[in-house]
Amino acid sequence: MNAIKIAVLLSILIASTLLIPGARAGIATSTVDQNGTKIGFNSNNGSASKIGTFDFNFPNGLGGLDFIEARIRLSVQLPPEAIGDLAPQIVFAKLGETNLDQALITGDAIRTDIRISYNLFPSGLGIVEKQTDFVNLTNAQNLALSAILASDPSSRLDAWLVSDTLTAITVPAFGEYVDLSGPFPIVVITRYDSTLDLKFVPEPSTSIAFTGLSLWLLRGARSWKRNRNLKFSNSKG
Amino acid sequence: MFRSTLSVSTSVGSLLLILSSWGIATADIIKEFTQQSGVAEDFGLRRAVYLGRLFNGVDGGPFRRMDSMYAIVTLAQATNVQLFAGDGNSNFDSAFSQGKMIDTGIRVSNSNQTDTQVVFVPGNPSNTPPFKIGVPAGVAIHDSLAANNRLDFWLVGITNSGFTVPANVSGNVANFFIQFDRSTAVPEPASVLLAGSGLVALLARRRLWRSK
Repeated sequence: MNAIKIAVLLSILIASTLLIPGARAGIATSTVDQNGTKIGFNSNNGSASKIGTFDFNFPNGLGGLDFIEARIRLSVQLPPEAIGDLAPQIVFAKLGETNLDQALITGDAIRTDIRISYNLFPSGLGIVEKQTDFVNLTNAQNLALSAILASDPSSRLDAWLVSDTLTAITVPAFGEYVDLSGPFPIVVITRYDSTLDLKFVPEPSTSIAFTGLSLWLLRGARSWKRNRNLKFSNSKG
Repeated sequence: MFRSTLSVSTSVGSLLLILSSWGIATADIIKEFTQQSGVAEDFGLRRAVYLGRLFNGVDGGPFRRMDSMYAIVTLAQATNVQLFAGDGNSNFDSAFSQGKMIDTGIRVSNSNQTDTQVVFVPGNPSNTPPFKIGVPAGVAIHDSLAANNRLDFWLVGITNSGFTVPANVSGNVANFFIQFDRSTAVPEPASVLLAGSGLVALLARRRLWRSK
């Protein structure tokens, strides 16, 4: 009987230990080709440029994960007035959304606080590659992001660069320029890609559950050991 | 018989003279490229992006008009954007209202709206005939060059239009290129009337000769 108890206890402990790494903090990264599609935004007073469809791989699923921060790298052309409150923001949306005004209302898209400012180094009147720092995601943004990722079997999302008022924003799929350094002019073509990083931690409830379970098992093990020692000393005495 | 032959040869000679007077015209080609400025203006009437200044120090010479042209520009998300040439490197609206900006007639569009592209208008100069500039525009552009010894170029769209014109593409300079074929030939109304009346006179003379 004691041997069975030990085996059960051990199996529970091992199982809980195996589950814990799935809920460990980390950064999910996805790099994709830029899309470049531009649509109207904010009743066509502004614009939304599709950065791309990002593909995340969570081997243990999304359950029990809190997304706390995000950052992005992209190549973009912004007008000089795109600074401060006018700097365009990143929006995460379900795959294939083409009406972001509506998607933001229905919860199929979420606006983040990640802004891509003209001033963000390097700045210039042209296509430049910009990389933001990690920016905090609020709890509402986290929940919406989780729902968006969960809506796709491959945990994919569309990222958009949106501005309420500016339309002269380009997130190009390809960029061309004429190289005049040689004897003949050559058109050089560049393919642009973008990287989205999502920082996540185990959900507080999951952490509490795991800690509680571990403590409970530890307590049970101790009490079982104490009882066994007591029985052993009684039988000896 | 001799008189008739003389008359015909005189008529043919007159015709050749009239026709050749149109053809006797010197022509040359001016072309230049420079980095695109990319500075945009939108004061509510239209959105104008300054491309830059070319042909610094080039004078009018014996020429009368710009005949035809090629343009190569780098831009994104453009649909029927107008190419203007004239005098003024800022405040397009003001220069336009003062008649200093001339619509070349060229319209630029991106074939792929998701890309920043190098667009050749009307096509690759090596295998495409140049864009024919309308006579009034060709004369006005030439006059602007002759008066200022330079030309400023702008791309102009409707207000709040979202086309973008880069100065740099990922650290590489984005240039624009303009080539004008200019000539001395200007079919002024007076010349047209003269040529027309000459032709009418010639035809009348031929008819008279035939009736005899």
